[in-house]
Amino acid sequence: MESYNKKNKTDFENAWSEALENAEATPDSKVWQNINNELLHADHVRLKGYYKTYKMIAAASVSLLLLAGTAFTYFYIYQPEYKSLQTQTETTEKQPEAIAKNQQNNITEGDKNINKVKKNQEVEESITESLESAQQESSFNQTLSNSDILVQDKADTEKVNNTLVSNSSLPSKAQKLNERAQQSTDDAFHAVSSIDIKKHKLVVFSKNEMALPPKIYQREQKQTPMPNYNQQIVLAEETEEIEIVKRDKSKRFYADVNVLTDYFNPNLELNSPQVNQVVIGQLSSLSEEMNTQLLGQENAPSVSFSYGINMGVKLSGKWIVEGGVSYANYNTQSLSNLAIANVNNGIAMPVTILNRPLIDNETYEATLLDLGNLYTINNSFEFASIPIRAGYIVGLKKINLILKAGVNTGLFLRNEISANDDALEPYVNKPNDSESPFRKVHLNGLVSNEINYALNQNYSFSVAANYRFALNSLTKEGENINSMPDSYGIGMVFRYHFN
Amino acid sequence: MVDEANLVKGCKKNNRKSQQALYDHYCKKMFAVCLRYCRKAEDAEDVLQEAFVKVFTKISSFRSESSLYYWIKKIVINTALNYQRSKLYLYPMVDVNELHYLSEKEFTLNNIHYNDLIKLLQSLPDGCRIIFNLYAIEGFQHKEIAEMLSISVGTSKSQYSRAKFLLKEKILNTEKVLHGKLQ
Repeated sequence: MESYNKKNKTDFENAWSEALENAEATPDSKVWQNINNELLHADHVRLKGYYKTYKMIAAASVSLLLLAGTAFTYFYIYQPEYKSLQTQTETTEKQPEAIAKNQQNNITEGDKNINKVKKNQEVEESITESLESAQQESSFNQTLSNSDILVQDKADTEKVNNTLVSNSSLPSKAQKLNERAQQSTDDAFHAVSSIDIKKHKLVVFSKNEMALPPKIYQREQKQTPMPNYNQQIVLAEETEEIEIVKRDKSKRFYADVNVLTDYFNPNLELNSPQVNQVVIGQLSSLSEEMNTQLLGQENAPSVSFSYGINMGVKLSGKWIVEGGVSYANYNTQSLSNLAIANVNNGIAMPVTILNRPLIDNETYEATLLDLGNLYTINNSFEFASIPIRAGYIVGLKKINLILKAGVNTGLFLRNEISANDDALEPYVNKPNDSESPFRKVHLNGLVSNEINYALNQNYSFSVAANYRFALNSLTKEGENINSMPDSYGIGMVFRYHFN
Repeated sequence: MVDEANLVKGCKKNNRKSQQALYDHYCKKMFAVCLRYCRKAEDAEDVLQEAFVKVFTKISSFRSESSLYYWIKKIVINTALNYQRSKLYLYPMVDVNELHYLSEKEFTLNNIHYNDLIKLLQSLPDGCRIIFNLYAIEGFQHKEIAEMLSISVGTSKSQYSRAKFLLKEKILNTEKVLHGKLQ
């Protein structure tokens, strides 16, 4: 461009171009300070953006867990038992032709399924006969057993059930089938009672042993056991029932180990908005362009984690209570170019609103670090916690959702304010330090949920999401700062169920 | 000697020391550019500040193949134009009669310090000053200037002509003062 300029333009233009080529002028020093402040602001916006993103991810994860739990609950736990014969009959009514075409095939299939049914032996022969007679009439198919808990294959149950319904092309027939199913169950009860009603009962329970207690049907109830697809009907002896109950009780206690990644926000607030101005006044000799952001009030979350152990007990089928201990290391970051230096040894430490009172201490002298050098201040908290929670298990299956809420007693262990620069010494607050602004003990509320998967009879694994919120301030009364921290955590729980 | 590559690397990592070093290295030359486009020093400082914030926030898009000086200068000029644009809207440039009263042969500015030349430029009307800067000093063509400022080529030419006339007049007056001819 410039060579073109020189070749094609007049002496006048070239003269100007050459005369101003090396022109220089010194701007006011405040220009860089303003640039620095703008960049500081941009950094804060970026960090806050990250925090918002973390929050959104945490919220999305919690929502997903809840959604998954709800979906699981709906589809696997509260799925309605087999559709009633009447409902299926309505379907039959709508598609009579199609059903008529498949009728012969269904009958054949139904016969095959029926043939799969295990035969009873001596004591239960009468029950089997009743059932078989009902099945041959395309009737109720579920009840079969022997003294060792004979289990009818659930697939067979479904197929036979479908067959029964499909075979009925008219509502009246379906109604008859229903009645016959009822009759066959009654026959089964009769058979049992004819042997020994005290020793044998019809029991419906899940194949999954964890899904207890079983549902027991007495003859007097006159109620037809209608197991769903993952339940089974058996004829059990009373002794076995007792054994089942015992086994259930033995699994009431559990212990777990949990590890979580946390996003912690101390939510620092100045009780008096004038405090910043006071600090700025104190430091006015250092810089007239002091920025309130430099006091480290705004914190962005950094890598944080917590882990702990819990012991729990099942109060009843679905309620649990648990307690334990945990350790948490929460880290946040802020930006600063302020420091305080010990006048005796010259050691400088980063200063934020958490250790700001040291500025008033004669031993220390506030200093403004190189304006062009911005330090990332890491604010690290360590807590020991004693959580106590109550929970509710939605469903009693291999996978279930556990909703928990409770309180957590937080014991402050340590706070370290450090900079990412070796020139600065870290500043440490400990529980017994008189200058520490933090309470030794504070309380949190806890809300959490878990998707729990039973690995086997003794072990289970959970994906957990926690939300922890302060019930009282983390800082002492009378401090210029107030802190009501909250945190989100996502992690894993390994649980052992005692036999 | 400043290692530009290292400075750029540091700036891309948002290292404040590198950013300040880069600013220190270029701020004087860029401030002179800003002064050419702005009537007041305060305005020039605002432009310089805004331009360097852009430099640091956009530095990740800088490719080392090009010259860092021209890349920064381009940002400074664009920022200055944007800064002046509001004024240009308020006082739209119109065609003025081209003036060729003075000879351009053997024209030199050797006797005038660039600080005085900048002051002369600052004394020009906004439109004239911007177009003179873009055409005579930066080397843009009238067609490019017209596109940049959303004006016609004719307007650019006539404004430039007026700027040249005014400057020559002022330079003659300056020389007269310098040589005591006005006394």
